[in-house]
Amino acid sequence: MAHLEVKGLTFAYAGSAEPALRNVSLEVRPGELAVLCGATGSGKTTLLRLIKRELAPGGVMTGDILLDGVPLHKLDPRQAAAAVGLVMQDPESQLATDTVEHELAFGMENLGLPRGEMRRRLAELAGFFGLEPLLGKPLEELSGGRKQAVNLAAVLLCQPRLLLLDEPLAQLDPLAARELAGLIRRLNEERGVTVLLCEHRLDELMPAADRVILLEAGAVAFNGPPAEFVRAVWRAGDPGRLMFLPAATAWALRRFGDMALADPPLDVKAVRRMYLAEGAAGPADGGRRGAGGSPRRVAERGAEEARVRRPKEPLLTAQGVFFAYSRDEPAVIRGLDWTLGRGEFVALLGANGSGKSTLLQLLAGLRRPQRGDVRLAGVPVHRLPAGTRTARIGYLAQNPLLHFVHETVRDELVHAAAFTGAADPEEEAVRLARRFDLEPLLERHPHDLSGGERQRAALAIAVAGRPDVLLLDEPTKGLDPFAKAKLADELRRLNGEGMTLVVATHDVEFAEAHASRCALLFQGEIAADEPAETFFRGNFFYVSPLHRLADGREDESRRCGPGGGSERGTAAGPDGGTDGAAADGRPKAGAGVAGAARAGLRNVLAHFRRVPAHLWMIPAAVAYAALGVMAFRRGASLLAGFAMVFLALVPFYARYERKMRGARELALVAVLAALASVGRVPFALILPNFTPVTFIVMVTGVVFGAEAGFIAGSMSALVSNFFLGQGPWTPWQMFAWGMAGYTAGLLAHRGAFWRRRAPLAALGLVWGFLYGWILNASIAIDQWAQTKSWANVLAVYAAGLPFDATHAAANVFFLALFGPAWIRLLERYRNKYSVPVDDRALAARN
Amino acid sequence: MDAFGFRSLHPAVLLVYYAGGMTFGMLFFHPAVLLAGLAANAAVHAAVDGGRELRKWLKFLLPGVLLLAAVNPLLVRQGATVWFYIGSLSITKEAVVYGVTLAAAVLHMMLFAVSYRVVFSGEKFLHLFARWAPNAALVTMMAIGLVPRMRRRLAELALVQQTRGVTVSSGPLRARAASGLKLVWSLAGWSLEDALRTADSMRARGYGTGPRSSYRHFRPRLRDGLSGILLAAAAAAMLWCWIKGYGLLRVYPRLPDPAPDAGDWIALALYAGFVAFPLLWEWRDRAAWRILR
Repeated sequence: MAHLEVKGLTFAYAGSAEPALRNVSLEVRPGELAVLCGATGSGKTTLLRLIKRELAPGGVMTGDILLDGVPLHKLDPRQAAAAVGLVMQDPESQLATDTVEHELAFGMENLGLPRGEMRRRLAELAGFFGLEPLLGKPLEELSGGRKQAVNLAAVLLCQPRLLLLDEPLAQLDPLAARELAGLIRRLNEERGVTVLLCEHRLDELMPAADRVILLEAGAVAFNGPPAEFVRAVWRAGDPGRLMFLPAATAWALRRFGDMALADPPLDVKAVRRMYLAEGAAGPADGGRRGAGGSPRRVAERGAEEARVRRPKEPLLTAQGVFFAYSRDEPAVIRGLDWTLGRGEFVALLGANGSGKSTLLQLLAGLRRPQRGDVRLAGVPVHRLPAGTRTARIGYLAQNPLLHFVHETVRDELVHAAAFTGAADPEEEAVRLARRFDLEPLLERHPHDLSGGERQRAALAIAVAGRPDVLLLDEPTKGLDPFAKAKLADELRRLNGEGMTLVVATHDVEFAEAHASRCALLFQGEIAADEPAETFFRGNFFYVSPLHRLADGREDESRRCGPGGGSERGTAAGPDGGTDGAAADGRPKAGAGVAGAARAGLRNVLAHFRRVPAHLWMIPAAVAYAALGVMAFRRGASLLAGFAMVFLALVPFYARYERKMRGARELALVAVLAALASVGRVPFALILPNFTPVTFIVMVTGVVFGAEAGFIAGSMSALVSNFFLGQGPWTPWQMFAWGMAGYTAGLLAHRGAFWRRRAPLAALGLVWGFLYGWILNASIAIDQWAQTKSWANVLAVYAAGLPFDATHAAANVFFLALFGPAWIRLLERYRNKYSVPVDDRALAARN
Repeated sequence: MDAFGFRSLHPAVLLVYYAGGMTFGMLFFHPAVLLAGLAANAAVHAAVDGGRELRKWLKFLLPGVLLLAAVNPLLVRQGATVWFYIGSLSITKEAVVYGVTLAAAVLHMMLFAVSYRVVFSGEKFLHLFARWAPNAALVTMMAIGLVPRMRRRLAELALVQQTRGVTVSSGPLRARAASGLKLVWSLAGWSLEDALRTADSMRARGYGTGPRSSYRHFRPRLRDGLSGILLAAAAAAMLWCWIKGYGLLRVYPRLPDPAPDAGDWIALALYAGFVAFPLLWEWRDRAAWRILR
């Protein structure tokens, strides 16, 4: 296991005078678990990316990064990629492929490992991670926690000497986070994997850490063992640093002062031992108020509790609500009754998949219950017009990105204000921006904001109409402690102004610190609904770490820690590989004729394997061409057409395979191809044939060049037919859409003229018809073969005209109205990530 | 599932079967040959999955095929033997026979497409093309993984963006179409942003450091070799038949006796045998189960 040394590292991003890292020196010894903490923008991610050479950002760097004494840049690319593994924050976007097995194999394939070795490694690790039963599953069916476990396993399969983890738990719910944290601990403790981890949630990992490194403004502010870290932070008393202490430790320090400082307890168990030894009163009463929340909460509590007890005027009520996603699925919400009073701050708790999000969407009127109704001040919400409903009931989804529709934050706010009926939307937008601290971000693209900023922007949109009720779905997910505190302040302010808040959350500490009432959703009904005080007293699982101290119960998270051995012995040894071993030591039975035949066959196959695969395409294509010509002359029209279109595809793909493509290029083409096949979904309701596929393909060609246009277009056909059904029509569609993208790309790079609205729309018109004509060609060729009459060929085309006209109309509509906006969108990504446009297009431009 | 019967064969052999079956299904043009092929194809469907997938698809496929058979005689004036008149429209026997044969050929292709769906998993497709066209195969795999994710996201967007006045379920047609594209636009921005993180994760796992190897694993076995040889021999024989003109019915200008002659019989036997080839392995493995029970 590796030894990482960073020596005097200073780094400034390209085009920035201010260095992001200043003279950083640190060292991680073999087998250590090192925790890197620091506020957002302190340079944690920059440091990790510099250590992960493949992802190193552009800029000026001085100093050295050594792995086992060898400078990182001296390693050969393959070694470097394998030696340092990285798992990032978002579980979903790190997945490159379609099934668990492919994802796990992906990294090993990239490293060119032989098949037997891959299978051996995979067999072993899948056992350790308990992923074996999931291997054949589509990744989409996995929960967030499982997806992140797959990411971790996929990285470990490359056998890294050093594992970098960049906030791997941030996007997970607490239960999944604890599970994954346990896995990381086990890897470090049992397998001796060297880990450098940055994370905000340290309750589970701090006790296992060997070293804590604190970064502040790009410089190392502390580097040492956790106990010393606790002492240093506590003595300095800086609230910005106190946030990094585990909740239990902070409580113990407040409670016991210097006694705890001598040997700081890092987990709940240690804290409990301490106060049992002390014979102190548990934190059930004193602890919660004094230590759990901030001091000011104590004063506020009293007043708040008085308010809670007063009966509220009911504002939003749900009566006998039943909701199921489809007829054959069990109902998610089952006869739920719930009343929210004006001015309350309610936390909605519940397990994963208990329907919290669904309930919020029902309350917001976004979904309609099959039975029962939701009323806002007595009026059923589905009767309210959409604008009024949005103005009166604010809704903030779990993912703030879902709210953004426009190209700048300003546009978002102006449109939100206009939609909710503001008299002067511009003015209102400025007011919102000021209030939510968005003024400097007004001209930015919403996707370019940081997590906390996105959240604030989405919140500003949600409250644009000054709603009576605001429903928030997991608003604290993925936020660092600072952003969380800021959000909490914001919510308290809104609540203080009289807005009713409902927060669906997993974050028990957040609920405990801020909510006036807590409700538990279970089996589609509200199982408990009480003032926060009494609610937490009655719970066993839905309690913050501090409450676990109260009754001297075992902290359940510990049970899956080291030595909690149910999963332990599952990792198979090196001889555990099943198929790899069998492949070699096989020939026993039937060694006679069959054996000889098998051996001969293997030799023949091995011989053919030496010929580069794509060369086989040439004789195959020539033979098929000859057959096609003969078929045409003999009137076998179907085959003639098929051979023709098949051959037309060959040169494009042969060209595409000339060289290995960059990861970004592949990822972008994959997204665009998937987009074209998903993009038809919303239009199925409107008009058949009125789909944006051709439009998307053409825009792709315009921005990314002719070749990318062809590949994205033909891939859209291929990929969507994997879901809709492959058939003899597939190659025709592949060719037609491919050519639409190709011509658009070719013309666009002739000159700026073809990027303009009108010429593009005209091209779209042409392709609306051409697409149909290419697809009709198979029948048209047959008519020609039968009758040699152009009139019949024309008749075939005439029959398709209504469909082609709709298609053409869709293209014109989309290109004329949205072409430029889409081109801007794609260009943004092309420039942001400097994806190469294919060389032919470049040559044409120069 | 994939360990027994026709499905257990190596993807390359399966490709030979489907390419050969479809090619010769398009080359032979004789009602008898094609009907025999159709019957064999239906038997394969019955053996492979009890015809479940076929029943599901037939209701979509059949109308188009029937339409094709019906429209051809209305459109085509060729042929010497007038059968009857519809108004002043003469319907020739030749055009009817041609239309029916063409419809049979098209239906035949579609049956292949349906059984391909059952037998030829995406996995096998990728295994074959990962060698021939590695870039395209990788993009395909990535896109297939993205489609369900993006569908889910699109549904989420459609739900939440109601609060922004974007909806496809109400309002004038123009506004709904515009809303639809706005949803797709939001999805595009989101997914492209994600794509770059995906690319980072790919490079972090060593993509681009050199030629890739392939984890996918289909070891050629004896039965693959035998099947390959058998299918290739049958294909060669069929090609010979076709060049000799067997299995071809010259419908125009005057319909000859449609009864197959000796040459047509050979073509028919070869082709029906070729199409029915999967039954061999289906029955062989089913017998193994019976014996072992």
